[in-house]
Parts: sequence; structure tokens; C-alpha cells
Amino acid sequence: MLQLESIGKRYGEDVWGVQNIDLELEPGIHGLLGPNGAGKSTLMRIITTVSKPTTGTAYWNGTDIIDSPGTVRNVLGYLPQDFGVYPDLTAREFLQYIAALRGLDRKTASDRIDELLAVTGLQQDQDRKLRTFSGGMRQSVGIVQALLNDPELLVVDEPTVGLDPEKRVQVRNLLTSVASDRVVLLSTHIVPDIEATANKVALLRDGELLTHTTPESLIKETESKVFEYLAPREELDTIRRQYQVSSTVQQSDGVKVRVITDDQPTPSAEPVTPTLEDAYLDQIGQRGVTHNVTQ
Amino acid sequence: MLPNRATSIAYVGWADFLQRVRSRRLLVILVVIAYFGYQLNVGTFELLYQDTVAGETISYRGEPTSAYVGLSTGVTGATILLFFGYYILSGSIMRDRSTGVNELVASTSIRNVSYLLGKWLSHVGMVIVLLATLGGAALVNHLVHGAGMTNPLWILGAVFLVGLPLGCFVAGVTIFFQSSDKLNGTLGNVVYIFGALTLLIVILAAGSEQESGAIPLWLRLGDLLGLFAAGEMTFDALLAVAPEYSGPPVANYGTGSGEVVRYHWDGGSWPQWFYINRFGVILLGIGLVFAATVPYKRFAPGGESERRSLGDRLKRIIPSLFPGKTVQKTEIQTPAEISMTPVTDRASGGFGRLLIQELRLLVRGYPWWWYIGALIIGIVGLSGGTASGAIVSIAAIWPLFVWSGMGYRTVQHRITPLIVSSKQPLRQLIAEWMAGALMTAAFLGATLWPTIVETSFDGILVLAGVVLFVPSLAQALGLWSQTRRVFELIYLVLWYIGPLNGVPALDFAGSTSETAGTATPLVFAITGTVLFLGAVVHRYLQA
Repeated sequence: MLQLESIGKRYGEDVWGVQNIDLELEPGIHGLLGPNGAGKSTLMRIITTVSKPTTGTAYWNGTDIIDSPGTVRNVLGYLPQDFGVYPDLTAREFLQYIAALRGLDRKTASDRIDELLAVTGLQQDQDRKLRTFSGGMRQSVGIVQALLNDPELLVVDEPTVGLDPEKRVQVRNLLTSVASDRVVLLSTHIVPDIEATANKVALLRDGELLTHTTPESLIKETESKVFEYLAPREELDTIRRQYQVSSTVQQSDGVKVRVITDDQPTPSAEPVTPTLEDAYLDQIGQRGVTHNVTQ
Repeated sequence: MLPNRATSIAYVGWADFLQRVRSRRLLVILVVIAYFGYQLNVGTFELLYQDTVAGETISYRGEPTSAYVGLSTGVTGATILLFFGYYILSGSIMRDRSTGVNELVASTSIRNVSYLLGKWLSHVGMVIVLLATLGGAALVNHLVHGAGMTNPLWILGAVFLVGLPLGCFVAGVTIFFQSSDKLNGTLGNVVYIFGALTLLIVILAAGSEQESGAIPLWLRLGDLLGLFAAGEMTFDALLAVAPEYSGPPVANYGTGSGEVVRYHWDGGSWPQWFYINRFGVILLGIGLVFAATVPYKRFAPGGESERRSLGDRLKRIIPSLFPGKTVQKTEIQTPAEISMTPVTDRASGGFGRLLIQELRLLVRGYPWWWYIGALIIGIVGLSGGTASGAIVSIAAIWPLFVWSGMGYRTVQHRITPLIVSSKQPLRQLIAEWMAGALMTAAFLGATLWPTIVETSFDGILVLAGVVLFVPSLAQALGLWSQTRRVFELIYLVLWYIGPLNGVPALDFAGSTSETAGTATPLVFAITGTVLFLGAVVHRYLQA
């Protein structure tokens, strides 16, 4: 289990990346959600011991990882958001390099590389130099390297960025399959990825933890607050200013809008079942964030 | 149309300039520049006329009047810019490539020449900052150490008149080199410094052979550093205190050992030809920017060139020699279909595999001619048929490509988070160092073996010294500076003075017969050890 106590990270004089974070992560997938600049990557760097906190500490199974970073590094799998590869190594050579860094023996490393390349569909490309890989393929290599040492703590920052929908589903399945008895911290802006995989969701805003709860209870808090109705196109801007608009669907006779509000916006508006995305927007309270769909 | 283009150029230049001046590295550069200015003004080194009378060298230097301080600071500023300006200024185009800004720029309507002129302007802006620092230091130093009244106009005017055009020229060279796939890396760095050295030596040699006042106009127009102008302006003042002077009419840098005679020079008019010269040098710089549009590629993904390695080329040319695996349709298995091997032991070493991969990283990705050159060095060195000094010097410079990525590569390819979050972050550092040491041992061992056979233990000590020193210097400077240019510049200067010119005290590679058996190898071995410890400290702080 990973415990964070009063974690804070200050940049410069008075700019806090994260502040007063208390969090307990038990085995399972924990989704980390928050707008840009909320402190997600900062928190992940602290958990992975890449960065030291200004205040507070963190424990892995009771051991202080700030004092003894080796404790968590031994069992850690990490995919940073902005990770790189050595372009002149082949995919297999790069993974062997990471396996050696993680302290795996030759046989285990080789077996794990074969298996993970198989589930990410990179077997045929394993002997190609990484400079020839597309962005999505490099991302897949990143995911494989994070899983090489069969980590007990897996921290992945935006793992599905740059992947096509099919690959995204594969990554979700992979994360779900490895998360049975280990801690997975998944940061992403793609709320459906969290919805499909996470047992719990931690919401960050302005460097502070808003909540850490199950997706169901988060959605429950938004129940009876989500409405859909057909509005004239010319009113869309007004609606956006007035309500938290979750999505819009262009139709021939107007725009079907989905809004989050305590009161029914118009008599024709019908209450609908909220999604995790609705719940997230309700908690974060951003205006004008929408997904447009044309029908 | 033209005002729009001018605005585009200005914005490209301004954005690049802001990015540069907000870097903390600039502060370090300015401190070093100011220190140079201080050393010049307190006379640690100075522009000197030198003559030999009855076997004794006599140095002539000017009294530190405003005019003299301005003139000598200007020439020094130009010299600094000629030798170090390239390394300080370069990086702007590569930065756009590594950050992906070039993709945005490539999708806009800005013309290549406008973009490159904008970058050139930013470089010139940096030159102005550097010269202003040097000029400011000269002003302060004249106030403290100078003779007569401090005249800011003379001091700053001379600094900018001599230094700025040369800076414009170096900025143009930088743009040209950065725009070329062949010259934007280590090769360009090497070509530049030797080009600058050659230029200076040729100008000085040509000027020193002439009688005072008889330097032909074409030669004066090639006076990049203002040395001939300085000579023309101060020579009469020199003759006033030393009418018997028979040395060269051009001053050179020196420390003024031996007898020093001071002459008094209060300034005067700059020669007319010098204004034409400065204007021409600026035009040359701008011309190089226009020339750079030929090799410049508007978009190069990830800052990586499209160069192919020798192996890749062979694979393309004769695919039958490299059959590879038959391409099949990729079948993706689900995690449920595969029984994943559990990992129970995460402390099973792996250092050997790490070392192998680090060796691969060191030897891959160079142009084909580099491998051919390495092979020739090996064959010639092992045959022992050539004068040892020459081949040792070459062997000490050829692996510059190998060493210069050390320490910096993890930053360049954003691998650092993966390393510092591993259980033993120091292992990568040690593996990289050992890979570098093995490469050094291979190159220098192949060429130093006659010395080892001849001198036994002393020869082994020479080899040990270079093996300890060079990879440690590369790794420590790469880690601390987070660029490869600092190592390349320092190493090139060191190599030029030591192994190439055979100055025994700096001959870390043992290219002269005088090195073996002295304390020099030991000094470099100890320095290397200290540098390696510095790298370890850096990694420890990172982790």
C-alpha cells in the first residue's frame, strides 16, 4: 500500500505544484484526474522518487520512500508523460537496457520482453531501430518498459496518448490484467479510460486533492444534476456561459446539449444518467468544456 | 509585404532572444566574459608588441588609457567571439527541432530566409549582450585600474566597432552550420574551431611578414579581429618609446614575461579602410544566412537527421545479405492468452547487459566515413609503421563523437526519469563510463602500444591516464552542463595544445616521447578520477 502524508512541492518562492496531499492507495487501479496544471505529473514524480517533496512524506508498505527511495524503486514501473527512447537502439535492445536497469536476470527479462511485445503487437518490429517507430509505437514501447519488472507499483502518466482506439483498448485491458494485486496509478485526461479501468478516482485541482473515491460514488454525487435538451443553435453561447456544458450533439433542428446544473434548465430538459465525465466536470467546475458530436 | 516580412523576422528573433536570455546558463557565460575582461585589464594577458634585443625578449604594452583599454578590449572581444562565439550562439535551430517548434514554423507562411534572418538577429542580440558585458567590465576596470579620465565613448565604441561586426559574422557561420545536416553536430564544432584557428594564423602570419604601414589593402580588409587596425593606430606611439623596434607591426596576445616597456597612446582616428572592413564583415555574416537557406531543411523531425548508419545503408543496398525476419501480419495477443512470467527477483545484476547497451549507444549512429577512419586508425596503429606521435594525436581526436554524447545522452533522449527511478541509478553512470573507457582504451591502446613496449610501466601509466581522464571529462561535463558543446570546446582546445602541438604538460594522450615517465599521466589520471567523482555526485543529487 502507498500512503502519502501532507505531500507538498513548491517551485520558486510561493508557487506550489501540489500541496497538502493525503492519499492512501491500495491495490487496484487509481485514476488521477485533473485539469492541466493541477499537479498530476508533479505528484507522480514524487511517488516515483524522481523528485523530492518540499513537505510531507510517502510510505510504501510502511517504509518511508523519501528516506529510502530504493524501497519503491525496486518494485516500481514508471511511464513518464514526456518519456524518450534511444533512437539508435532497436526496441528489443532498449527494453533489455531498461530490464538491466531494473535488475532483472537475463532469462526473465527475455521472457517478459517477448510476452509484453506480444500483447502490444510489437513482435514484428522488435529488431527495428526506435528512430523508425511512429509516435504510437514508441508509446507502446513505453508501456512495455513500465511493465517489464512485473511492478508492484505501476505509475503511468497519459499512457494512451497517441494511440489509436484499438491500441487504447489493448492498453486498458493490459492495465486491468496486471492490477489484480498491485497498485496502479493512472493519470490521464481521457476520462473514459479511467471509467473503463479504475477502481478509485483521485481528483486534483490547483495542486490540491479534491476527493479520492470510487467512480460510483463520484457519479452518485452528480445524480439528478445532468440534463439533456434540444436548444436553438444561436443560444448555444448563452447556455455555455450559464451552465456547465458536458457535451453537444449537432442535429438538423438544433443542438442537443447536455448540461450539469442543480436545477432543471428548461421545462423540456430531461434528467439523464450521469457519466464519470459529467461527475468530473461537476467537481472541477469548468465552464465551456464540451465534446461536440455532429449527427 | 516587406513590412510583414520584417515583422516576422523581428518576432522570430525576439522570441529566440528571450528564450536565450532567460536561461541561467547565460549568467555563467556573462560571468566568464566579465572575468576575461578583468584579467585583460589587470594585465594577466594583454596585446603586446614583442621584439628580441640581444637575445632577450622585450614586450611593449600600452598604458591603460581609455583609448588603449577600449582598443584592447575590443580586439579581445572579437577574439573571444571568434573562438567561443560559435559554441555560445549555436543551438537555436536545433532547439526548435527538439521542442517541436519547427513543425509549427514549417506550417506557417514564413519564408526560410526570414526564419533564418530572425535567428541571426537573435544571435546578434546575444553578441550585443556579451560585448556590453565585456565593455561594462572594461569601464569598471578602467575606473579602478586605469590611467587618465575614463571615457565611456572610447571604451564602448571600440568594443562594439571591433567586436560587433565579427559577432555578426560568427552568427552567420553559426546559422549556416546549424542549417546543414553535415555540420550541425560534432563535426561542425571541430571544423569551426580549426577553421577559426587557421584563419587567425594565416592573417597573423601574413601581417607579421609585412613592414609597418605596408600591409596591403586586401590583407587589411581580411582583418577580422582588428589587429592590423590596432597596429596602425598604436605603432607610432610604440616607436616614440622604442625607435629601434624591429619586431612585427602587429600586436599579439601574451603574458608579458621578461622586460616590459609601456608606451602611451591616447587614441586617434580609426583608419578609413577599417570601416569598410567592418561593413564587409557584417555583409559576410548576412550573406552566410542567405547561403544557409540552401542546406536548411524546413522540417526535420525530432532534430534527427535523415542520415543512415553504415549498417542501414548496407541493408538497403544488399538486402539479400540481411534477410531478416519474414514480415507477417501482426497478431496481437490479449493478456489472458499469455501466461506472464512472474518476476520474483529484481536484484539479479544486469550490469553486463547495461554495459553492452551503453557500448552500442557509443558506437552507433555515425556517418560511414567515421567507421572507415576508425578502422584505418586501428590498422595503422597496430601495424606500428607510422610515427607514433601523429597517429596517437589522430586517435585522440577521432573518438570525439563517441565521448561527446556521454553524460548528455540521457538528457537529450529524456531517459533520465527512468534512470533515477531505478533501484541503482549509479549503475548506468558506471556502465556508461566503462563503455567510454573501453572505447578510449581501444583507440589509444592500438596506437600507444609501441610506447608501452618501449617504456613498459611508464607507457601503461600513459594509457591509464588517458583512459581515466577523457571519458570522465566527457561524462562530467555532459552531466553538469547538459550539452555536448562544453566538452567538445574544452577537449578540442586541450587536444590542440597538448597532443597535437606536443606541449608535454598537456599531452594527456602521450603523443610526444617526453610524456612517458613524467608526472603528466598521473596528473590526468587523478583529474579524471576527480571528474568521475563529480559525475557521481551529480547523479547522487539527481537521485
